[in-house]
Amino acid sequence: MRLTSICLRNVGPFGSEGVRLAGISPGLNVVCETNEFGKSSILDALQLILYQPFSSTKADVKSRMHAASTDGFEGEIYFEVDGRQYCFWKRFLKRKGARLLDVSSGDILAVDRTAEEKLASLLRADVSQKGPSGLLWVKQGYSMEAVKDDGQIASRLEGELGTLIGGDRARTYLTRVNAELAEYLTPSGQEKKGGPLRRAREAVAATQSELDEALRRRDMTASIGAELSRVTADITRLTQDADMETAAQQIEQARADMTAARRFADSLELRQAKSTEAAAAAQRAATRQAEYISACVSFDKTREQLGLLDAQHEQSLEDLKTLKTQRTELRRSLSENETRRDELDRVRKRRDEIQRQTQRLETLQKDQQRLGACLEHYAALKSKQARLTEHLSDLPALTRADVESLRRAADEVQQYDIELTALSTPLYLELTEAGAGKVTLGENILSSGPVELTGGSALKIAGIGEIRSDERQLRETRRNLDRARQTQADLLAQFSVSDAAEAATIADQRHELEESRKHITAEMARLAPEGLSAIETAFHSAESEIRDLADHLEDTQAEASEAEDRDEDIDIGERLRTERAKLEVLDDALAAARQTLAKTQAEQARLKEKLTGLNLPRDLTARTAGAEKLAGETLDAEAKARALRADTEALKASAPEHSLDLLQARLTRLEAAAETARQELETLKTNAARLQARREAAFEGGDAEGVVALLEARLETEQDELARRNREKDVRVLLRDTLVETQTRLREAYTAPVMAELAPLLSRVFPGARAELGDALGVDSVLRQGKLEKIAQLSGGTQEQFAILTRLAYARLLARSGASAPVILDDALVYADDARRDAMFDVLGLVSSGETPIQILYLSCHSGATRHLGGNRITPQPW
Amino acid sequence: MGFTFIHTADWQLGKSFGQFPADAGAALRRARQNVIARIAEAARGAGAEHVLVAGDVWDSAIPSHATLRQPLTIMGEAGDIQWWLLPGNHDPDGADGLWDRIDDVKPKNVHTLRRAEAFEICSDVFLLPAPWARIQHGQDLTDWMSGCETPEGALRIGIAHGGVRGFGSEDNGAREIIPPNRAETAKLDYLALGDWHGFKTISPRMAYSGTPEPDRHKSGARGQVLAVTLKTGHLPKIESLPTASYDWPLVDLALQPGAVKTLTQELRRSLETGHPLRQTHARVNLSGEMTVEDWAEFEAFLEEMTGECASFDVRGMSDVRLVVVAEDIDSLDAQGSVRETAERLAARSENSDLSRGDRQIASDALRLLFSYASQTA
Repeated sequence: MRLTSICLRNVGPFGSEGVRLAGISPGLNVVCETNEFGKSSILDALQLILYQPFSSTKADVKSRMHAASTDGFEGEIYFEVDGRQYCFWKRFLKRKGARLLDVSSGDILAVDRTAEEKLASLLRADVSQKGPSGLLWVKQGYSMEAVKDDGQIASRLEGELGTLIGGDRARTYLTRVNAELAEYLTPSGQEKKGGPLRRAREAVAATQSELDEALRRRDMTASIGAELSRVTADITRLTQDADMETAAQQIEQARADMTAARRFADSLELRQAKSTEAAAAAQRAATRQAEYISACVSFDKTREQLGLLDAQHEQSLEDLKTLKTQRTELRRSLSENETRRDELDRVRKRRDEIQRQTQRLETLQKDQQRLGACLEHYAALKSKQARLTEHLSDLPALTRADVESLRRAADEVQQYDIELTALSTPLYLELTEAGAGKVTLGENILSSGPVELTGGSALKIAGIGEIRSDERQLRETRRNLDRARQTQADLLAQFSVSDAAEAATIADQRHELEESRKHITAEMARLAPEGLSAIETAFHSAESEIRDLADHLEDTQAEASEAEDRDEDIDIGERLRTERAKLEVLDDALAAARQTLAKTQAEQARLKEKLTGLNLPRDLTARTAGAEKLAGETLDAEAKARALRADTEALKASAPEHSLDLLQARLTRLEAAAETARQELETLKTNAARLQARREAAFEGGDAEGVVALLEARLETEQDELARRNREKDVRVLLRDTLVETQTRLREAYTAPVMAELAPLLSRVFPGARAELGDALGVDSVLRQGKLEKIAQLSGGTQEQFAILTRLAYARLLARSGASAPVILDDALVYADDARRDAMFDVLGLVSSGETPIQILYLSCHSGATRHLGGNRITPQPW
Repeated sequence: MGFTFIHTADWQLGKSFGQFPADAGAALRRARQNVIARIAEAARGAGAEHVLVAGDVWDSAIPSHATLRQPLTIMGEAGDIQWWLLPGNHDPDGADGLWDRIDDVKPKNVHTLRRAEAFEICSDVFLLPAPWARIQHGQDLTDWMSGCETPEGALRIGIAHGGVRGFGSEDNGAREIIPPNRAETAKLDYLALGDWHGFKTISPRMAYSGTPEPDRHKSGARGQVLAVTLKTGHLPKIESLPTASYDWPLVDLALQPGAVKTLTQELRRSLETGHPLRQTHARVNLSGEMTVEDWAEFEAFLEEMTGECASFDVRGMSDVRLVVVAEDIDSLDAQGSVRETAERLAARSENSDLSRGDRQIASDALRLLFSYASQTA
């Protein structure tokens, strides 16, 4: 869309005469008028005419009516779309209507609502929206606001670019799904307290808790019933038990049996006591008789033992005496032998001494021999050393180094000689006849012809002299040769040799002699490291010691032989050991004899005391009479006891069938069983009453089983509800996430071409700066000199410049896609400094020219500033 | 002249119905009690003096006094009818002492069948009961009937509770123990069975009466008692008499794209053939697929039925596949992120690499997006 003309009437300050902006070019158009001329009214009216239904009576329509106007406010817009010229007319409020004409043909294309719809289609806009005012049309005072997509321009752009972040619809869906999700979840993704999901979960937990309690109550009710049945059955069993009567009869019978048995037991006990007493008396009499007889036997036996002991005592005393004598004798012999043993020990030590001295003597003799040989060898070496020294003193003092000097001197002479020979001088000899044979070179007689005169030779001319070459190098070489020969001669004279070979022979001889002397010196040093005198001293010392030792040994051996002569061929040690063993045996025998004697004496005392204790007459006849009396008493007592025992046995034969103990045990058992049964019945009846009461109470309430079933069903329903709520939440989370993901992706795709358009414009005003677009399609942040700044942090003027540049970028994008839309700027750039303003004017000039110029309508009240802007100046005219 | 009696079972008095809201559950419990009076009416209508209840009279062996006594009172009020009650697996004559409690308070015209022995309920008519003594007995309680002697020419009516071998039982066959030829082997003129909640004939002389007031969703079960007429030398004459106050239809609904409206209308007509919808507890098992447009249609139907029926339980909603075509996404009337979101969710709902649950969540998310769009439009 490109505007070509705008005509308005009865709007703002424009009354019936109206206003007309004609000749609007496709590029930059400038309307510069003073304040309150009505520029903003023109912009507002343009928006209403294009985007507000003609039937609208809204306040924003009414408020823009000219104050003194009686007719409705109307406008006529001329514009071009896809190369075709249109005129759109609209009037509000009075005689309202709309009309769209084809300018070239003058045909009315549509009227009223159809005209508006057709216009919207041409503008690719939604008639329900108010137009792209926020995006491309900037009202006075709003130029600082960043671009905000109101959905209209976005929807226009999306068709051309094929991309869209969703506009209002997507935002609506996202808002709605977020609102619904907020019922379920907190912003951090937790379940929201009081939300349907949390409520469902809490309901499940609460019901589960109720169910647990109901199950407990049901089980308790059922168990009460089961317990009651069991108790009732037990009561019935106990009550109907026929054994209970039998038990009572048995108890009575047992008690009667007990009385009879107890009476019998008393009689028997009395009879048994008497019988027992008689038996005891008989036993006592028998015991007395037996004791008396036993005492008599013991008396006789003791006396016999005492006689034997007296004999033993005498024998023991005799044995003790013999042993003492033997021990005294043995002790004496032992003492003698110990003396002899000590003497033998001394002789043995003397022999050991002789043996050690003999060994020492042998060692000393060997050392003396060795030292003697050493002294002889040393003397021989010393003689040899003297001879060598003498031989060396006869030879010239020549070393191998001297020989080397001689060889080098000979070599030098030979070298210079060779050099001299090599330095020849060619001559040509022409001899006269007279001269023939008179010229010689060495041994050769020369004739006429060429002659090679070598350095060392001379041409001798008999009778005349010699001819030598006197060439400089020859002369030098000859001097060197002479000097070398002199040196050689001096050396030969110094060493008194004829040549180097002789010198070498002499040097070798000296070397060998010196080596031999060194070897001898070393050998002598090895033999006598501390000198010859030390060896000689050692030799003499050994000799003296040998002599002393030999004398001492001779004396000692004499003493030893004397002792050996006295020594008997007896092993004293063996004898001592034998005698000591015998002494020990004797000591033991003595101790045993003493012990036997003591025991015998003690036994004698004991037997005597025993005899006294038996208190029996010593007379045998008296003892026999006493024994016979006691035997008679015993026989009487035993007869009485037998008679009583026979009576008792006779009574036992008439005893009752069961013993008293058995009857007592039976009675105790029967009474205990009866008591147990009674108590059990009592307990069961109490339990039954208690259970009955509890069951009655339980049945007075609700159905325990029914409550469980109800809660189980409710729990299932609530679990279903929880699953359903969870699912609803998951569904919304997925929808939200998918919407956000696609919006993010598309926003990036969508803003890319805008950024491409914006970048070159931005570089003209802010070199090196880069802008990032936000969700509302405006600039969100700016990157300058490596620093990222939020747009809100920038100055008002800079924000305005970014906002206008962004609008221009969108406008270029629309223009390139064939959906051009005019950019209307009302009093923009009022905050820009001169440099920025000029740069922005450059940009406005750039975008409004070229192949796809943007149509710009620049409304301003600053004539001075707009003077620099250029562009097509439009002067408003009455309509 | 034959002998006519009413055969019924599985009253399960006191059943809780916890899956429903409290008031609906209470109404259902009341209905189970109120049906006793209708059974008495049916008996009178059929000329029967005896009502045989073949087990599970109560839902539990430990009912409260109220749950126990109120039905007995109702039976007592129908004094012209003799009520013969048999312990079943839900209310066994066991350690809980239920039947002692019943015997303690029952009216004169109520008789408990607690022993496996012949009862002469009227001249030459003998009842051979198979009472349950505990929840699980593990044996054929009708076995004794074969050896039970009754006078020559007398009618022999067996009454038992549990599954018949090969015919199933309410607990998926776990109690299938009664031989299918028991009527023949025990020379019974009729064997009145309980346990199966629907009316089922096992043989000409063996039948389950079903429950008089249904308590669960069962295909075709509407609640009835059987009026049985026995005549020596003839097969029993069995007549089903409706007694229920609620319907519990169970419907499988296979949805097809574009046919949802027709299918839901047919379903509604089907449900309206029984009791009024306000007395209908319906369950619908869904399968198949629906378009975006169908979903809106179906949700409106759901809203309508949920309001009108006593309960309208829809299962398998998440199993229904959402069929999305390009036009549906175009109809979102949006481009860019909305469109791409729809396309992504559609692709995710078809992605076989994802779990079934994740695919269903994607499908639901897409449906939610369409729902937003339709509401915004």
